[in-house]
Amino acid sequence: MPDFAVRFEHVSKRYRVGRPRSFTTYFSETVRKLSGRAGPDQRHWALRDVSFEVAPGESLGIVGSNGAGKTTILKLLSRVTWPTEGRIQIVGRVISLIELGAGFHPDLTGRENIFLHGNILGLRRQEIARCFDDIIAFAGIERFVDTPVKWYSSGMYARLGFSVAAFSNPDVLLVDEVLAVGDAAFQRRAIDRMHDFVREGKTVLFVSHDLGNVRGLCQRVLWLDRGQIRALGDTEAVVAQYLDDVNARAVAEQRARDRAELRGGSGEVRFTGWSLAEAEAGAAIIGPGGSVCVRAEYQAFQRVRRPRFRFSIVSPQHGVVVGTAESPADLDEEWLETGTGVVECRFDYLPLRPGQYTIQLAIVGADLVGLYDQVTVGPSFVVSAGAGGNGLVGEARAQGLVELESSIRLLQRQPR
Amino acid sequence: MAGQVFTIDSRAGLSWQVLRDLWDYRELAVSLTIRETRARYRQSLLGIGWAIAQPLAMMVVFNLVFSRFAKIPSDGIPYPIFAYAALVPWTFLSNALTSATIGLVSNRTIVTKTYFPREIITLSQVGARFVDFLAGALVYVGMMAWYGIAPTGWILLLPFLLLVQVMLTVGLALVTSALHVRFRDLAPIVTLGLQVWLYLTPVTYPLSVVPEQWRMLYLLNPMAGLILGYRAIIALGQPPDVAALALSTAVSMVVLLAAYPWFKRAERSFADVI
Repeated sequence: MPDFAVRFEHVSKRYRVGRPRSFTTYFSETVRKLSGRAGPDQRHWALRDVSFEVAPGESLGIVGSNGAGKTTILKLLSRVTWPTEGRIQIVGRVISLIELGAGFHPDLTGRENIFLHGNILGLRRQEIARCFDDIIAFAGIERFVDTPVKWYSSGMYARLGFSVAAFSNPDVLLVDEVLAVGDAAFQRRAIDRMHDFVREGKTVLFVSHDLGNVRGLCQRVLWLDRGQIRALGDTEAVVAQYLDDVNARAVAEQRARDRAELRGGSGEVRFTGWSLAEAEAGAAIIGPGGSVCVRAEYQAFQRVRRPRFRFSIVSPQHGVVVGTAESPADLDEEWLETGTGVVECRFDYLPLRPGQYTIQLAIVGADLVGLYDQVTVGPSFVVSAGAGGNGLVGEARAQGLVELESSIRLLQRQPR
Repeated sequence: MAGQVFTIDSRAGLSWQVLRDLWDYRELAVSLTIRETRARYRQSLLGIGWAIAQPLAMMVVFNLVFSRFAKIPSDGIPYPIFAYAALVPWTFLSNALTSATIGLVSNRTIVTKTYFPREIITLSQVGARFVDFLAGALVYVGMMAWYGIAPTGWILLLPFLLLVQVMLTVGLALVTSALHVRFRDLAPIVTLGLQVWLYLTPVTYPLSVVPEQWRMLYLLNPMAGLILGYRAIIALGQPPDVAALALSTAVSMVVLLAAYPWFKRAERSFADVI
């Protein structure tokens, strides 16, 4: 027996992009190629020189943004598509939960489709007959087994598709985002079934954007980025790296948008610069209970009646934590005249748990309805437990974002 | 299959594994044939009757036009018997080729999501039309009884003729369906081709109307030898023209043996371009 269940050796996959060829364009392209004038590059590498191994009984999660090549890997393994370069080895039978109910024919009954779909997955009639009752019970369609599937609800359809594959007996199972089908109860059962597979020592390759499920199911994680392996290793480590990267990209994207023409607001008053007062450059580090002071320069292009400046602290994972929107206390006139100025906002006491935070800036109308300007990702700062501050030390297992003074007392106890 | 190492190599050529795969998926060919037949006739009033209606209607029209109006000879047997003996197998070829050509594309959902030898689809399309053929053939039995024509022992050659025709049909369908994946032009090309081909085949007229000097070239059309064969062994109760039949068999085998490896190579990119 080989010591792997799946092995990729320098595998690449190239797709054509652009308009499909008809007879005429096919000939004109061939003529162009023969005459040495190549057209524009119409090739896209979905995977580029990917090598990895999965051990028997191992469950591997595959993460990455859209277009990273995750589904291509599963399609190559399920032999739907052929590699452009390299070699793939698989031990035993592969069943894929890639597309649920793809082989169903709408005019055939549930019963007929179970056998048909099983055959498509490579199962024998006898094998399907043996677990037929389990399949319909798991899908919860006992009453509708002799009804054409075109009259099924979409949930029933997908559940039946999942169930046929889930009761096959694969050596290698490929799962692509299929756990999103059905209601919450069915999803629960589907996840449980996946855990069964892992416990039974099946090799599982699991593609999902739900990192919670990846964490729960997978021993190792493969992170793909534009067709290449970015990281491969222990689940927690790779998922953390991946999340950092996703957050960093989101922040960078938002910053670019804040600077560009796409910025929100009607533009009578705009921020022209912003920074943390204490930090010289980049992100400031404070302790729990520390303080932050934001300074922002503005320019008023028109006279505006009593604008309010809004400063909000945002956690990338949880959204707005706290915010304030006030007119500067020393703006005593009714109108903010055209010209430039600087406003400052102090948060003197921030009982935040450790993490990364950014500040959102906005200028809103006196009625809080109109929006003159908005900077979604302003300066950022980090709250670190080790950075001193006001003496609060975040409990490691605490939940939430804010550290409040609290105590728990036992009021009643009745020993038996 | 357990414990077996399966290798997919981008540079690998074809191997005998192809045939083993096909054997492993034999049940799917049957399932898809059944699905094709059932799905087509479910929720239709006439059901399988449609399989009979098509050659029957053509026979009636041809009888009127070719026998009554144009006075085409029919080898000394009633024209309906003469024409129907050819029309039933011709309808089988024509329908099988038409539906198998678009078969891969109309089964796109399973082609792009799951693996199985793709020729299974071609085989099941031909298989489903074979079911229709059987229904049409049943009517022929009734017609023979009506005209009081008893079959002779030569009818035992029927399975062989059918085998040759299936080889030819599958071979051609493998080519047209694989091309259709890339070029949708194939559907109209096949329809047009079948119309032309029908008139180059002795379906509505006997071989005797073809000028002597053209016969050799004419019989290179593998359907010519087959149709003449069907008519001889069923309607006329005579031995088939051995030379013509041998030529048909040879041409059909060459078509299939050339088409299959080509199809298996083209198959690798079906899911990408379909």
